[in-house]
Amino acid sequence: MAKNKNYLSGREVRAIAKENAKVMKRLEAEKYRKCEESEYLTQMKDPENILEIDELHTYFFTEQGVVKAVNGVSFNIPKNSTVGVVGESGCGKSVTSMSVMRLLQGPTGQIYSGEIRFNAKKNGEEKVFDIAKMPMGDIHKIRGDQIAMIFQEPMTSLNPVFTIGQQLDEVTFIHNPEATKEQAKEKSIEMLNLVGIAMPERVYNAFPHELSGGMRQRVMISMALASSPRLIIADEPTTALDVTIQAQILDLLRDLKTKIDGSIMLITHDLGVIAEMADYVVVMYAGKVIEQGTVQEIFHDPRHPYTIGLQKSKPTLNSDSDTLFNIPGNVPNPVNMPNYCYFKERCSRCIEKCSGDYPCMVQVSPTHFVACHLYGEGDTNNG
Amino acid sequence: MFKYILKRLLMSVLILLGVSMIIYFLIRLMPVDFIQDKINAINQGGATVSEETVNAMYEMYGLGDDSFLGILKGYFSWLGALATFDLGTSFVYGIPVAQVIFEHMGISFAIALIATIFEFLIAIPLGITAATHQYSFRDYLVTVLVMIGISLPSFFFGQMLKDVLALKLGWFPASGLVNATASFTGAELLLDYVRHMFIPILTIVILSIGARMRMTRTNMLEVMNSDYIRTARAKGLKESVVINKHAFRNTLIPLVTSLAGLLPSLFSGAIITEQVFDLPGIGNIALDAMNRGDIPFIMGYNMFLALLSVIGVLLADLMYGLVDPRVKLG
Repeated sequence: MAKNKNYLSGREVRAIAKENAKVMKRLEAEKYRKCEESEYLTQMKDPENILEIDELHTYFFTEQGVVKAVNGVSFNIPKNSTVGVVGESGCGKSVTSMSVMRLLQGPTGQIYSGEIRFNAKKNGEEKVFDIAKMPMGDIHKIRGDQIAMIFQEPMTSLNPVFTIGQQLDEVTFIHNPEATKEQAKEKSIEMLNLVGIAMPERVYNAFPHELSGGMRQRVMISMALASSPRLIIADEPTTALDVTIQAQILDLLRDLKTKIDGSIMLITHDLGVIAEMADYVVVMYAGKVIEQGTVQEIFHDPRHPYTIGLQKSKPTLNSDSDTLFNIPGNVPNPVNMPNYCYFKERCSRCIEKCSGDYPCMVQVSPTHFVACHLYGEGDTNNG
Repeated sequence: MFKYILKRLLMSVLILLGVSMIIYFLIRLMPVDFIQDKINAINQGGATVSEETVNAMYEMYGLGDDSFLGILKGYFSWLGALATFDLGTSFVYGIPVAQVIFEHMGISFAIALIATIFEFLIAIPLGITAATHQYSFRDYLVTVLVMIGISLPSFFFGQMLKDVLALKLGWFPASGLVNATASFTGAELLLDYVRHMFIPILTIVILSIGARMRMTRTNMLEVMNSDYIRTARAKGLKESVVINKHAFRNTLIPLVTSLAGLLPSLFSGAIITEQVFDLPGIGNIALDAMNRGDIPFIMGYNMFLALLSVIGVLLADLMYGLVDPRVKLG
C-alpha cells in the first residue's frame, strides 16, 4: 500500500503541535521581553551598508510542521542604492521584508535565528541595531521612523474609516508629538504634493474609497516618506496597478530615492521592473538566495540555472515562438525541504555533485555570487 | 437624506400591514377560545349559561364567525379601529390594550436596558482581548466561560442563581418586584427595586454575553488580519493605538448596527426570566395573554414590536451611514 507522504497521523500532528507550542512560547517571550538597548546594539560588517541581513531564518510553525519560509538568507543593502529582490511566488521575498519590519503575524510566524543589522541615524547620531533581537516594545525606534514600507495592495492598505488627512497626520504626530494640527496638515499636504497628487487639499479630506488605486498607492508612498526614512521597503508596489500607473509609480520611486537620499529594497517578480530600477539584484528560490550581483551581471551573465530560466521565461516582442519558456516542475514542499540543492529536480544541467549537500555561495566576480555546484571547483569552502 | 427616511417610513407602513394580517389570521386559527374558557369558569362556579348568551358573547367579542370571510371582517374592523389609534380593549383586563402595554413595559424595559448596557460593557472588552491574544490561555478561558453562558437555558440558570443567591445565601429577594411587607418611598424604594432586579439582570447578562463576545472576537480578528492594520503598524504606531483606534473603529461598524437592531428586544420583555422571577413585566403578560386568547392584546403587543423592528432596521441603516464612510444612503 502506497503511503501518501503528505498524510500525517494523529500522533504526528500532536507531536508537531507540542513541539511548535514550545518553540513559539520561547520566541514570543523573547519578542515581548523588556531589555536594555545595549542588548541589541551591534556593529555593521561594512559601514557602507545600511542594512545587512545575515543568515536570516524565518519560520512558520503550522499544524503540518515547520515551514521554513526564509531559510538562511543573507544580503546587504548599500547606502543610496536600490536592491531588487526577485523570485517566484512563495519564495520568501515578502517574508524577508516582513522580518525586517518585524510585521510577521505571531505567534505562528517567527524569526528563528539570524541577524538583521540596520544602521539607524537619529539626530545625527548613528547606531546599529540588530532588528531581529529588538523587543517589540522598542521596535518603534525603527519601524516607520527609519524604515518605511509600501505594500502590495493599495486598495486595502488604507483604513477605510479615516480620511487620508487623518492617516497622514498620524505619521507626523508619531515622530513629532509636539506638532500642532496645522503643522501636521501642512506637512501632509506637502507630502501629497511631493508624490504628484493634483489636488492635495481635496485628497486630504477624502476617504480612501474615493480614490483610485494609483492615487491610493501614491498616498501610501507619501505616508512612507512623511517620516523621511533611511530605507524604503517596497513590496511589489506596482503589482495591483495597471501598466501606465506602474510606470508613473516607478518613476516616482526613482525620483524620491534621490530626494530623500536613502535606499530602496524593491521586492517584485517582474524582471522588467528590476532591470529599470535596481542597482543590485538578489534572486531567491525556496527561501534561499541563489544568486546575487549587480543588475548587469544578473541580466547579462546569469549563472544559476534558475536565473537563466527566469531570464528565458521573460516575454519578448521579437521572438518567433508562440509559447513562453517555462521551468518544468514545482518548488519542493516547504515543510520537508531536501538537504541537496532545492532546484535539483527542475534543473536541466544537473551534475553528479548535485545529489550532495546544499551548494555554498560561490564568488564569480567581486559583486557576483551564486549558489550552484556548476561553479566554484575547488572553491566550495568560500562561504 | 430626509427623502430616504420618508421613503423607508412609507414602505414600513406596507410591511406593517402585511405583518398585522399574518398575525391576526394566525391568532384566529389558534386553538384557544377566550369565550369558552370564560364560560367554563362560570359553569364551574355552579351557574349555567344559556346557548343564546354564549352566542351573544361570541358576537360581542367579534368572534362569532370562524369562516375565512368572518376572520377577514374581524381583521378589517380591528384595522379600522387602529386607524383611529385605538388598539382595542383587552379581553382579560378589560382596559385599553395600550394602557396594559404601557403599564407593564417600564419594568421590562428597565431590565432589558440595564442588561444590554452591561452586556456590551463586558462582552466587547472580552471579545477584543480574546481576539488580540488569539489561541492564548486567555482566549480559551474567555471562550469556554462564555460558551457555558450561551449553553445554559435561562429557566435552569435563573433558578440556580435564585437558589444560591436568594434562598441559600439570602442576599437578594427571590421573586417579585417590590417588598410586599414594607412600604418604601424615594431612595429606599429605588434600592428595593435594584435588589429585586439584580438576579434577573445577572441571569440575562450572563446568558447573552456569549453571543456578543463571539461576534466582537470574530470581527476583531477579521480586522486585525487586514492590510490596513499592517499599514498602521508599519507606520510605527504603538500596538495599543493600533488596536484601540484603527482596529476598534472598524470593529465598531457591525456592533453599532447590531445595537440598533436591539430596539424591539428592549421592549419585548424576557418571557422566561420574568416567569422564573415572577416579575410583572410585559413578557409575562404577553405569555398569559397568548394562553388565554386575548386577541386585542396579542395584536397590539405584536404590532408594537413589529413597529419597533421596522424602526430598528431603519435606524441600523442610518447608523451604518454614520459609522461607515463608505455607505451612502439615498
